[in-house]
Amino acid sequence: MWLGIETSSLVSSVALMDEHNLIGELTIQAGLTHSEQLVPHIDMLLRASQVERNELKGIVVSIGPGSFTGLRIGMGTAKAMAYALQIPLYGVMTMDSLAHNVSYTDHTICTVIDAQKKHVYAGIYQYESHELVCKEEPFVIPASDLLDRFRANDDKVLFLGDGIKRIEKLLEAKDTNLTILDISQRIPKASSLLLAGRKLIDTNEVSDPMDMVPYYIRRSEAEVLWEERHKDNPAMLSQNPTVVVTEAAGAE
Amino acid sequence: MSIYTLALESSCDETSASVLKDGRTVLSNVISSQVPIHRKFGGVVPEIASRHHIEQVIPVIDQALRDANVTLQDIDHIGVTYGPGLVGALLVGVAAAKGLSFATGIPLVPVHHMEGHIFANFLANPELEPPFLSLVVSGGHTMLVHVKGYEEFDILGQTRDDAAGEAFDKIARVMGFPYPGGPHIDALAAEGDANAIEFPKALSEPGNFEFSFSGLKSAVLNYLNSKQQKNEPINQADVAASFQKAIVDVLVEKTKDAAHTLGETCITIAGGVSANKGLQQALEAMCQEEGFTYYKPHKILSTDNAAMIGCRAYYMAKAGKFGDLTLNAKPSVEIGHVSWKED
Repeated sequence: MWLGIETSSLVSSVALMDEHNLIGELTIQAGLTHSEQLVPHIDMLLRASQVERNELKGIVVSIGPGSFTGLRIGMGTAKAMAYALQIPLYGVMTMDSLAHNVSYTDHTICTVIDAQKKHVYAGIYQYESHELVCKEEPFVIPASDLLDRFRANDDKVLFLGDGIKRIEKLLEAKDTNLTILDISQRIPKASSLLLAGRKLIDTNEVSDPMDMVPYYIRRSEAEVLWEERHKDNPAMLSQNPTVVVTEAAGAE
Repeated sequence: MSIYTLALESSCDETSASVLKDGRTVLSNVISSQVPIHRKFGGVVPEIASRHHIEQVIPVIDQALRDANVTLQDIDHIGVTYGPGLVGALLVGVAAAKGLSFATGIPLVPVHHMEGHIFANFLANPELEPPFLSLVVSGGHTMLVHVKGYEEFDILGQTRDDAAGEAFDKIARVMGFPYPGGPHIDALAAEGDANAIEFPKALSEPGNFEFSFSGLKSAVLNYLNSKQQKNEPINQADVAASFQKAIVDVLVEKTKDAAHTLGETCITIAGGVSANKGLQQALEAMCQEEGFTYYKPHKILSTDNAAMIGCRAYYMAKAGKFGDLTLNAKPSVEIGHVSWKED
């Protein structure tokens, strides 16, 4: 039995899957914080599915991109559970998971995740003989540039993900090839996360709770500004301080 | 049977985990400090802090358990700082603590960060028992707390604006010292004349236990600016000494006044600014003069660490104060806030 945890957007979704079936899924988009609802939702799902914690064989978590805080709540919970239960942890990119919401289409699937300031994180996927293939590494792009690119190629595209709110208002009547998926299909779901995670489970591509980090794509604004300000000073730029770990027991 | 507490702290720029035995024996206290990382930005950058917490949280827990020579199975309860602090930073510790608690069934104890600072006194002084008067001074807080019992605190007064540590860091920054600047001011002050410049002491009337340091901060800034404009030399040591004296005098005087008002003769000091030598000396001298018992600060009282959170968690668990899985981080929350679920 595997548990999926998806908290990369405003949607909180958890799911359970075994070798053959999707056992259960709880997807809530009611404006509550992930911090308050995530662990209670996992608890609720396990109870409703009559699954014990020690029956879990692994945890699949969405690693991003997405809301920085949402990702860290999901990953902090997933890491701690995997560490305590001593079970494998798997990290799936948010767009890989989202693309699995759509089955067997000959359209291009474009996952768009809100990246703020009129930008989206975009992922481009296609089905090739029943297999979903990621066509390009995820990238950050102004929403309008993304649409122009598809218009220029006359691509038939399905859009999903919370970046829809950035592109929706830019669509024009002539854009008949560009389709925004329905509300039930466009949101991240832990069942799709588990589907996308199957490959990792099968090939034993495990992540370690000791060093797993979210896939932010973007660096923090403070770092970008700082480097811009010191771009002519290689000595400053080459500074790379890290954390200092001490054992303070006995210092009291 | 001994009671084992595992505690987590991630409210600012330190990720820390600790294991305590029977609430007052620190078996391990692992601190992963990000101070070197934030120094170049001149202060803590919340997003960068959160990024390091999510990276460090499991390694520090793992090391704390190993250093204490225990496993999760030995742990009786898990204490975690839920506030106050940087919300993104707090959320990482809270998520990890809830994940551990849910996976293992070990009860969760939500700890107030500043109550942790007060309880650090119990780790530093094994013989200390309530009641006592505690002066809590850090980069985020300045308050006088009457600790009447393990579960009973009265806040006599807090700062209306800047915390004492905040004033230290801001003035240090203007004087050209790197973050955190408080220790630089303290060192410089030792070489200067504390009576060279008269800086204002706000709210200093007897019976007023509130603090205010923003006026003092402005006065120092104005002094430095006007000297600069007139092209007059600035004696940095005198400025540091006079500024530090203005803060220390207020802290010591109000502590003395509060002790007399309450009839309390036992005084402790906690929080990051308790490392300030000028404050330590002045407080000790006052206590000697007044015949108060003064508990000297220790290193553990001045850094954010999980051991102090664990000590508070131990007493909360003893009083049946447990949280549940809906626990959320609270960036600003008062001491004494009910964070647990009443049965």
